[in-house]
Amino acid sequence: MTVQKPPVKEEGLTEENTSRPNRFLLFWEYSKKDLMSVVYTILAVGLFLSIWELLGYYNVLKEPQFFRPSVIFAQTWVLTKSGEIFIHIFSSLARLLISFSLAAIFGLLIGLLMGRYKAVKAFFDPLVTFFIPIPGIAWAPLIFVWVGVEPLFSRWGLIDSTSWWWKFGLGNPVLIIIGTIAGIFPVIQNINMAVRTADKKLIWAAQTMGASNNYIFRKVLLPNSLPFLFTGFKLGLARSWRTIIATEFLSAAMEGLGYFIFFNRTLETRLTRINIYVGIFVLSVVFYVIELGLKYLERITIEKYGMVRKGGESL
Amino acid sequence: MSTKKDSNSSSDKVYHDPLEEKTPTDTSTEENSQSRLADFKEHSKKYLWNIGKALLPFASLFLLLEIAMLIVHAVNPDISDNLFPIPHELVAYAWRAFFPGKDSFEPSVALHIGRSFARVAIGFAIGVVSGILIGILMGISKWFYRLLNPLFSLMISIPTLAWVPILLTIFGLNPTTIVITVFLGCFFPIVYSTTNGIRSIDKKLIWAARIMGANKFEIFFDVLLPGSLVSIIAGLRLAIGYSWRAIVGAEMLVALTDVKGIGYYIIGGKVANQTAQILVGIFLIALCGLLLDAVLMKPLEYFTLRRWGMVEKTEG
Repeated sequence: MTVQKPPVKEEGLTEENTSRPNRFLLFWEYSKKDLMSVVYTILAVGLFLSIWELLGYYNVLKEPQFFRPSVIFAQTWVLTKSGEIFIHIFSSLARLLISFSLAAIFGLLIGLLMGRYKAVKAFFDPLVTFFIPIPGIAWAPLIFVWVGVEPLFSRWGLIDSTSWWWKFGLGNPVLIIIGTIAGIFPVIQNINMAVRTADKKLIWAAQTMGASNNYIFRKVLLPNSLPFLFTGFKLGLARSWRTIIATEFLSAAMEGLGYFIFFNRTLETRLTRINIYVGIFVLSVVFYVIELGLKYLERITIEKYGMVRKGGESL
Repeated sequence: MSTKKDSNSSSDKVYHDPLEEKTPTDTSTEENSQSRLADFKEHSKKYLWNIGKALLPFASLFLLLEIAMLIVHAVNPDISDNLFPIPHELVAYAWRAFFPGKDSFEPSVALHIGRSFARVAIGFAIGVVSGILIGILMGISKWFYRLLNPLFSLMISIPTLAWVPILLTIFGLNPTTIVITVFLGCFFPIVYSTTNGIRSIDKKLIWAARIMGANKFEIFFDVLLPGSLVSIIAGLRLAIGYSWRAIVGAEMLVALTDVKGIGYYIIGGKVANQTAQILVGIFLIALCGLLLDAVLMKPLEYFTLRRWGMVEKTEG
């Protein structure tokens, strides 16, 4: 008697296995959550705006204080078409760029020195702890009194106030100094944290395997501290931005989103009241775009090293 | 002594209930009380040493500025004392700001600080109540989350002080505007942290409670609330910092009328070209910010989280 073997199914050649999976279905399965969240966002914002519009239409939210979203968007479109709003956006952004790069450079320098030398750390640590709760705008009166609101170099006749770089906010030292002061503390604090949490065993392991200092810095210390650095830069940028906008409320700078909003507040006509809403709308859009850019940067720098898990895993 | 220490260290390995540890049974023995006294002395010495170390940079900065300013004033006597005050004059100015004489027209700084604290208290209280309620609703209900999360995440990218112009057109130049700015400053972080705290609770815990027959209220009070408490209190701690920052800016922007408050005090220094007034104001803002955190938030964190056993006892 011979034992009959069951027929062996050959894999990879049957009709079921050769047929390709439906790409659209796969895509849907893969990104269902993200797509649905976008849909819900649009629905929620649409609902909010339409309720607001209706309340405005039936005079529940009355005109001198509240305006319908359609009116605000129309005015935004007018200002965009005439290009008037862009000069304010770009001058605020230019101030942000300069002051934040100064904050990043000095913050990095101080933070690294604090990590390297104990004396520097002992000196700066209490100062940073003390000065962190001060809002950036509290420094504004001091800088106004000390530096003055007149443009940089103007007293030596180097520029006139109609030149392009004065228009783009580069000539206003007060705003840049205050933005730098506001942005520097989170950077220092986070670099400190990075230095404190650096795992010594990893460094020792690299050293026993004969790595050079340069190699250790590039392959161990930098990837280890990159998330902290990024958090510090993100917080510092946000604080610089807030402080610059708030200081533009107070200062006599002729450009900038904060100036645009507060200047329109002082003239009490219908159009200027709409302009306040337009300014705040543009403000939130600009910062939202900056945040999106930061997220992209985070993805291409930090997730490359595998230091932060990729998003989309929450609940 | 050495045997005592040995027995202590060996008993550390055994698990102790944190509530039990606070009431040791053998307090009557003299040896124990002596060792505790020594412990206390050592601790306080360390504490004082830490404080001294923290004050040292301020003292050195003070001396440095004192010498620099004396040199500057000696070289160029035209520089006004109002603009660049010498540090020891600053101390005298702070004293006079707190205790102005009877013939002075200006009120004490203590009044300004009191007004600011009162406004922060009102705004923060409204923010805490409404923020935690809405945060819990968003954490529990899926549809609330879908409806409100996009709006809040858009609104959170607006700087708090940018609301002030709108509030000024609605409420006018008065303290209501300031209180509502404070409310807006602390509302969003509280909502965000509460929602995140509830949503990040392990679903298996809820399932387990449900299997054991807990009803919805029990699940909420015994699972969701304790589980999200760490996040909520971290949010409160963030929020009080935010509201303290918001009030300074708001008072500066509303300073056209005679609202008191620390921001008003600082802006007054700018108007009068009195650098000393501004510097005293800045120092007071920093001190009050640290004080709010140390007096209000740290004990809250300690009592709630430690009592509920959410955080391990930390060393040192």
